[in-house]
Amino acid sequence: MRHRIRNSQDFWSGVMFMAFGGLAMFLARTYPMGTASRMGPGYFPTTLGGLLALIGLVVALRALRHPGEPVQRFFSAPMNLILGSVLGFALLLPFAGLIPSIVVLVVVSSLAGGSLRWKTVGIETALLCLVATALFVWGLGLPFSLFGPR
Amino acid sequence: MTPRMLAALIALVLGLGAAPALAQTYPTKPVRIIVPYPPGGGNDIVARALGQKLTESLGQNVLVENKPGGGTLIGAEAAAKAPPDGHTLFVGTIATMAINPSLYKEMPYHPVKDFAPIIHLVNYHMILVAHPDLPVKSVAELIAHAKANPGKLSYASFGSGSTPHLGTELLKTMTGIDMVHIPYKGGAPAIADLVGGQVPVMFIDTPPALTHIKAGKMRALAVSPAQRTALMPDLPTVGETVPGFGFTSWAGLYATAGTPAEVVAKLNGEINRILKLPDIHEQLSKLGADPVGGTPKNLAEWMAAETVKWAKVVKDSGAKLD
Amino acid sequence: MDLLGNLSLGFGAALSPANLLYCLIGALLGTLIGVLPGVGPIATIAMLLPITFKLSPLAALIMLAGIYYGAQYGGSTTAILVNMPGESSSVVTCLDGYQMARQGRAGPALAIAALGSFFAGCVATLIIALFAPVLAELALKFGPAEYFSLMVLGLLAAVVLASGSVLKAVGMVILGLLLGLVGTDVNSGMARFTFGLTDLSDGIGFVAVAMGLFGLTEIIINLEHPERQPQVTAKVSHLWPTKADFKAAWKPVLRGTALGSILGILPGGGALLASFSAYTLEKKIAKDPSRFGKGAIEGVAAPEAANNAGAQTSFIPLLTLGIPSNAVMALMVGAMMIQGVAPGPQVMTERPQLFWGVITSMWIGNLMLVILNLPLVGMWVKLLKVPYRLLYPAILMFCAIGVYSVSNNAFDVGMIALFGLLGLLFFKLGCEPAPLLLGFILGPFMEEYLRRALLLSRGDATVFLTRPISLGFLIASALLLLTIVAPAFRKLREEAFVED
Repeated sequence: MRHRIRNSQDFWSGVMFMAFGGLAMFLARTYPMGTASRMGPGYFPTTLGGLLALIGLVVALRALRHPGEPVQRFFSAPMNLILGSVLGFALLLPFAGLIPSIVVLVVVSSLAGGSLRWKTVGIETALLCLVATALFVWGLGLPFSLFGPR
Repeated sequence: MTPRMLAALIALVLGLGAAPALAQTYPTKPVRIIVPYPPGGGNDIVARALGQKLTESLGQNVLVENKPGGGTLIGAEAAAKAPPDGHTLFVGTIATMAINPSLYKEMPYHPVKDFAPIIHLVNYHMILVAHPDLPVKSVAELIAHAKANPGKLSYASFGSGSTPHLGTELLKTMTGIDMVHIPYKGGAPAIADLVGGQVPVMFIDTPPALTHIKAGKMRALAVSPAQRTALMPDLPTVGETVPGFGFTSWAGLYATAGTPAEVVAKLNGEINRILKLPDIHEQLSKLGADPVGGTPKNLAEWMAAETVKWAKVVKDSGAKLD
Repeated sequence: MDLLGNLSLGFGAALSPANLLYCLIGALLGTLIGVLPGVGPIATIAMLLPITFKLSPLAALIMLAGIYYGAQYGGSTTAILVNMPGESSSVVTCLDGYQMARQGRAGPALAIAALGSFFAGCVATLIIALFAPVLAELALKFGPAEYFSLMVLGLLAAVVLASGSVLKAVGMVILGLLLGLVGTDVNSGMARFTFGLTDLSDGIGFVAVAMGLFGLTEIIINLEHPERQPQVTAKVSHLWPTKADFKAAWKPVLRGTALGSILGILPGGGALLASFSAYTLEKKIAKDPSRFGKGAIEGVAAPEAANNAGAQTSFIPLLTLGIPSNAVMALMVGAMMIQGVAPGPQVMTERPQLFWGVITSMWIGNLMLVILNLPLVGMWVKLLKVPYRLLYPAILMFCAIGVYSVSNNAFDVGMIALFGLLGLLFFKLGCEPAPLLLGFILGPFMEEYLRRALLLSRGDATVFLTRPISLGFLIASALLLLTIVAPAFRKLREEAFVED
């Protein structure tokens, strides 16, 4: 196992912890600290941020001595499409209403599944719109507008 | 310009520029009432009871939409930005309409400029209670106890900037006593700690107070408003010991500013009628709420007076949020 | 105590045809919304509140309670089938339940979850009937100091949830604690880590975080690696648990029931810990802890039992003290007030028929649910035979609508995407999300209780040691810490030895 690369999962985990810990401490720098017996709003975040950064440092240093699993490629088409479809739904819903948002969500996310069969996707989209309307709007009476802003 | 004058001006403007035909056709689609709190609280239940009665009389669905969060700022902002056609209504409370402006540096809405008052819905009375182990039986004894033990007494509230917090701060400044504020996230955990004897004193809503007082888990000291309440006529007001003291928590119904006056008038008339219905009266009294009613102008004036009153309390107590 | 008399009074009231019907409606509706990812009982109960105006108080409470525990049953179904925890309590069920489903053992996982829940429900109902008033008094002994020490114990338990590196698990817990701090600070009212967004001022929604980290991440990974997709591996070997499964599961169910019943009583977030701590306990006492996280049936049985027991006993503070222990219970208070029943200690003495009727209806409801859910197991398993490319867009849709409906805010839906991205990052770096999620849930509580305890003691930190219950939790935490650290140290020494 000695031949495994040093840029391992653990190394980057450590870096991630350090980044988040550092970010927390940076953002909390303006919050009043108070004292240990009468803590201000900054006490907990700063302490935790520091602790996280410290743990990140130890994890990263240990990873340099003990090579481990390599990190897989991060970006991929499914990731972009799935995240994009959910974001699209979130952005559209307040303006376009429930039905257009579902259409965007289902069609865009279906693109992530490899070869796209328009007919099946079309049928599924229509079916899901119907189910969602029947279940959430008519059945549970949630306050949605089907088309347009509310 | 004082808020009172502004409110009067807006009421005037609203009264002039309206299409008379609208009142006959309104509502043309389902109406939503935004409640800036999670479901289950007093304001939510009032809105749902109201919504049901309005659905029956307006012939369109009137739905409650809970938009909690941000110390009521999120729900208020959504209502302020809704189209001014009366199809989006808002349950504005003492927090959204009177306290928040002096609490927050930046507000995403303006209580007077962005809203058209419809009707003052209800007032909620609060009761000052103490844990039975605390050796005080009245407001006078509480003040004496606090003066004898400066800084030793704690009091609970539903959160920083909540009505019980500011109400107690008002009591502190008016009597010169010193008590340490212990904020909680909402009413339930605060009441649990009060019953458990962790915190000795708090202003709480009437319904939970009544049950715990009856069970001997809390001792009632006084009620918060200027007059005694019908639910507990034997209980004195705080003001009987501390002259000039008095507050209630309240809620009103609002539309977006610019809503035609005909629509506001129609809703005001309907709700005034609904607030007098015996079954609504019964439901409200179970919540410890007094129906108020009146004209939109009454509400605008009440709001303006409340804003001035709480601005002073916030300033005196040094409470501030970002 | 005239238990038999009370129970027969309760059954007499709960078994009337109308009340049975409302119990069934509640259980059915609860199962339905529990199965839909993200749609929780809160929105549904809120919607039904005006309808309950017209029912008798008993019928209203029976139906609303049915929705609540029905949703607990339904929630585990989604967790097992598609790795979507809709409630904090079903997060742990995902860990082994979903792995069992991927191995083609969704049937046994669902059946054990239902049976374990039923058993736990029966025991917890009996506990409520026998000890409710005594237990309520005990719960009142818990002040901020006790809760803080309990949270410390809970966070250490979070570390045990992970199956990989202890140090990385600790890092994830702390990251979770930090994420939990986003929003308005209870003590000062100051907004922290909100980037000026009012949408963040009440913190990040749990459902969005859980859906993103677990559900969305899983979908993306499955699409990147088509060979991982459930329908490929799901050779449904058998629908029902085998004898060996039952043998492995009955003791965890017992232990889970006990833990859940106790923690459920605590109104300040105790029930949240039930399923987590039951899982941790099983993993700690298992002969081979490495099986956990890879489809161990104990890892489904214990937390499901604990969760359901906790859900039942969390009615104790409500029924005996009038103190709601979570958002659903707060809604029940609303429903009771509408009905003119002031929740509190006097309900038991002044309205015995109501009190005992609700309690016995819980047992009836649990029976209905198990009868309802066992035949459904076959149907759910068939759902996995739907081609994955058709299944995942539907999951995404339910998830997005569900998260939106929690507070009618599209911002929360956007948060699912953000946490899907983070979840993917964690996956690629070999960091496990479960400890983070527990840290996220407990973080705000922990800080709140710590600061409140110190505020009340005027800065004297010895309160945590001088109060016996708090001291007990801290000693237990120290012991747990020892069992976590000792093997890690041994490993470290061995590693050092090899290096030299």
